[in-house]
Amino acid sequence: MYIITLKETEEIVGIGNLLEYLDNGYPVLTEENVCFPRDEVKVFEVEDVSEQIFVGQYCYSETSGFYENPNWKPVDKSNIFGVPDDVYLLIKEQAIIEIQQEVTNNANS
Amino acid sequence: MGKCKILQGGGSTISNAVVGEYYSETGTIKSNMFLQYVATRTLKTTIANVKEDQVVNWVAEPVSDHRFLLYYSTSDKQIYASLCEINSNNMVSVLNTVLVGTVSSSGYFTGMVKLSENKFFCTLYSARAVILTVSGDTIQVGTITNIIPNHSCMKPYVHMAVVRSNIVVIPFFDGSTSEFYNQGAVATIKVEGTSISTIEVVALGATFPYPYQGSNNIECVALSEDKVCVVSGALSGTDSAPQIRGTVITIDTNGKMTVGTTNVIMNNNGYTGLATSHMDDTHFVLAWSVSNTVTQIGVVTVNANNTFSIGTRLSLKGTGYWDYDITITKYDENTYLLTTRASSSSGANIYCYALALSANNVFSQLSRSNLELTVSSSSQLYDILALPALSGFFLMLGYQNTTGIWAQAFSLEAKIICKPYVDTVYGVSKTRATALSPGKVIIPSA
Repeated sequence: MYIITLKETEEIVGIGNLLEYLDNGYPVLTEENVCFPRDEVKVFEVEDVSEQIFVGQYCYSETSGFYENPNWKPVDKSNIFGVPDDVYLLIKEQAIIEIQQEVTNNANS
Repeated sequence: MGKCKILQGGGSTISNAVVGEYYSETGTIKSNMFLQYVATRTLKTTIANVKEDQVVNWVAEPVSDHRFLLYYSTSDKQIYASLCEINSNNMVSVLNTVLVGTVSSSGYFTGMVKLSENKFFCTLYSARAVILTVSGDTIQVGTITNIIPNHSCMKPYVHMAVVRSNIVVIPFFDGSTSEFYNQGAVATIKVEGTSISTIEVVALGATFPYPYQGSNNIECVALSEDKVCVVSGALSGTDSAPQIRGTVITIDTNGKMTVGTTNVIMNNNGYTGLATSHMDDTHFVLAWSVSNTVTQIGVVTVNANNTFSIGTRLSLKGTGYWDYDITITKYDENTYLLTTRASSSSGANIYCYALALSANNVFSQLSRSNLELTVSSSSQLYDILALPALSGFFLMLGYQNTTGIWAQAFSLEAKIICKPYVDTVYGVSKTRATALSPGKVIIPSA
């Protein structure tokens, strides 16, 4: 298997079974059909990659092997505004009320 | 997102050379050479002199050479339009500002799309629109019209498309029912003079991604005179498998829609930022954030049966945060500017990538620049413009709580570099060539 990592951080940005190169030197994970800027990445061929290893969440280097990416952040699925959840919910509820009122007003105008 | 026109290059200095046919002393080396863009900032100018912390959101569109129209809302529920001009010193001045109207709530999005050289279709919260006409230094405001009665939504009317020159296609998340986040929907609006009339509103159906599935954006990209594609994404780990999906809509001369089935564009991808850009009748460019560290861009082919296939995607190093705002601006025939805004509670940075599109529709990265612009983390929109007459420049608009809306021009210093495989042919290794004049380049020997 092949692992693509960022040179700068060793973060894994791609994992795949097959690898080829474009004319411009960019490595391509064939099955995933994703290429990478060649100046920014390293390519490793490894025997196997555990199913527990995910792109973005793990790093890889020849000396350290796989390790968890210290910069990895799980996605915040709802509150993206950097405010406490209770404040977010209040704003959201207020927005719902405003919009529904606006719909009613528009329908009546 | 600013819909730029193709920048015309040419000139005798390297700073305004463009990608194109260049010749070495030994013969044609076209397509072997690319420009490496280095964003060099000019002075930042505040262009919306509103009171502190007032601007809520804004969009901008080019008007003509050196001019653009800024359309923005403020926290005191006013909507303004400003005609701006960038002068030879790359400073932006405001020629005129008009009050377009008032809205009942300030925190929602405004959108603007260009209909013709001087005519713009603008939306106001909620479900209203107006035509702005630029004449000389003045802005004429048409009649504000209800456009989508009985429908409303959280994130409406921003990424619109124009077909048949006078039909505006508006994608939105319909919030008209008791369930706030409801299905995706599309409206067609016909514009005759400054008169606005709604032709049709249709729901895209349950298979089209909506916000509960993680969708943060709903995009509409024009493919041809009678066809658009509406795109959105579903989030991994919630209601649905992570997918970006699209729906092709055909629009007749009256603005009536024929809505195709929703099909998958991309599996195992699709969350926050999403951006599209027109390519031709059957292709469009799509960019999206894959994770907090990766953004991807690729060319989507719309097949005859309205299904999709995507070519080799380019994986770009992200910002370290989830990129909630992504824009794609076509810079010239083969070059695109991609911007991503990293969102975090402490602020946000904007990265700009210059990307070259090869003949086989695969992107390669020319440069990646941190523009070192800090925008308010609470501001969800920014815009990017490439002004046609300002060869080598694009304009970034931003917002800061303390200064309002600002504009900053960036020169794209065109450093011509050779593609790697040229190394063996010409014996040079990433040597910067010198542009002497359009179409003539000297490549240093290795």
